Amino acid sequence: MARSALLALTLFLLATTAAADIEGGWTAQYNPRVGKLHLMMNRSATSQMWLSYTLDELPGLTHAQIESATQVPVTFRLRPDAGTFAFEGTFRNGRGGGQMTFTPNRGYASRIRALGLQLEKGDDAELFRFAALDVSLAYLREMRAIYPETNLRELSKLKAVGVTPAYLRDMRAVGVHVESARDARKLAGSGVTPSFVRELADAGYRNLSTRDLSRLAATGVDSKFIDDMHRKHKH
Amino acid sequence: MAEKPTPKLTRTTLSVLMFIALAVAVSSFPAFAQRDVDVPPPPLPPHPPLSIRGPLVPAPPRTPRPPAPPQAPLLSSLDAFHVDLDLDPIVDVDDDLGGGADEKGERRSDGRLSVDELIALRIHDVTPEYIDEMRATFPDASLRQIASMRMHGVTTAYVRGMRAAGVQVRSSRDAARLRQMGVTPAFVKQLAEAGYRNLSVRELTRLAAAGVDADFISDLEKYKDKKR
Repeated sequence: MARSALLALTLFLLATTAAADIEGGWTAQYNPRVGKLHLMMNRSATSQMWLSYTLDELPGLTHAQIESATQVPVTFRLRPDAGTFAFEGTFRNGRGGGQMTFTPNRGYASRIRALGLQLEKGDDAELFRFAALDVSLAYLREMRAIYPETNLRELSKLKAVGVTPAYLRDMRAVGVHVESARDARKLAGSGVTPSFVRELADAGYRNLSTRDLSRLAATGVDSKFIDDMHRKHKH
Repeated sequence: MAEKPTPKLTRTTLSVLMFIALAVAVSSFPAFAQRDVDVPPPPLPPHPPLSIRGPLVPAPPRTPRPPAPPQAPLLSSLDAFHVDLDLDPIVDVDDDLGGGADEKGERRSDGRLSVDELIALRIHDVTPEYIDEMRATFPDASLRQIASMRMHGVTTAYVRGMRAAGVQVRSSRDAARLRQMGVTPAFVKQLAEAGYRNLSVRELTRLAAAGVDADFISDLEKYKDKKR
């Protein structure tokens, strides 16, 4: 009898632990110049994520609240495919902070499997990461259509550096054919944008390889620097 | 008569003592021994004799070497110490900057700077101001040479200081070499005070690279006249 009760209690505790939401904190700062809110979520002392959102991506939060001269309470939510973030806290003069609760969507894992992909651990922490990066099922489908051999880990990295089907289309339009997901990640991760490619082309540097583009962007060589150096260059 | 129960405190104390005793006993096992204590390793067993494949046969008698030619006496001249510290490859500016070639090792036909050159200039923080400054000192310096000077930390003040110390810094290459080897105006003055004046850039860089300084020279002076 006692043993059965102990077993039942253990199972109950395991079940409640598995179903528990993830609690954490958040701080945010609004950048009016780019019209984005830079949001930092932390679920432990060592796990932090910095993300940027436009206000229309954050239902429940208004510009008036963010820029309020006095401290105002706020609640807002984010609903990516992998779960729901509920934020509570305050804002004043473009800065805010408070508590955050993440409720994982456990159906996400099975829907990912249906796409032929597999989460590594499938635990709540992994769902938190995919939710924070907003790795949506639609995104995975589109990117898999472009790079069919890419695994979920690489796809999440692509999302983290901002590689989207639109980015790849725009790069192709300026003459850069991004053959692999790895190249795409390097380009976007180094800050290569279609306008950067155009600037270089205007400065006389056309048909550069993805490697050269990444290296130039990563080291901060831009059209102004090229122009400065060529004015001083003696052939 | 009922046995008197052990007082709670005594039982707890006993438990703690047993735990400590157990911990000490366990830690004394080699597998549990504390790893960060610096215990000298046990002496190694005597090394077995080197194994020789096949039967041991006596080595054939060695042919006596011809007598070595008489060597020049040490310290008889500076040539005995001549070590050609040719530093040119170290300061090969073209290599540092990719020599105008791009990723595939091809030069640009339009005469523009290659991607590698641009990156090298950028990462060495070559600015238009620095270029102007250095060209005021070395009017014919190319961008590659200027980048090399920047990389080694050459400034106009450094070149001025070296020239004031009597060093003929004729080119950007000279400046980069001297700076790279750590030759300073103070070093040049010390050598001059030790009797070594009007040294060339090459001599200065060789001395600095070999660690010859005024102290070393002064130490050797003591033995200069000693009969060997």
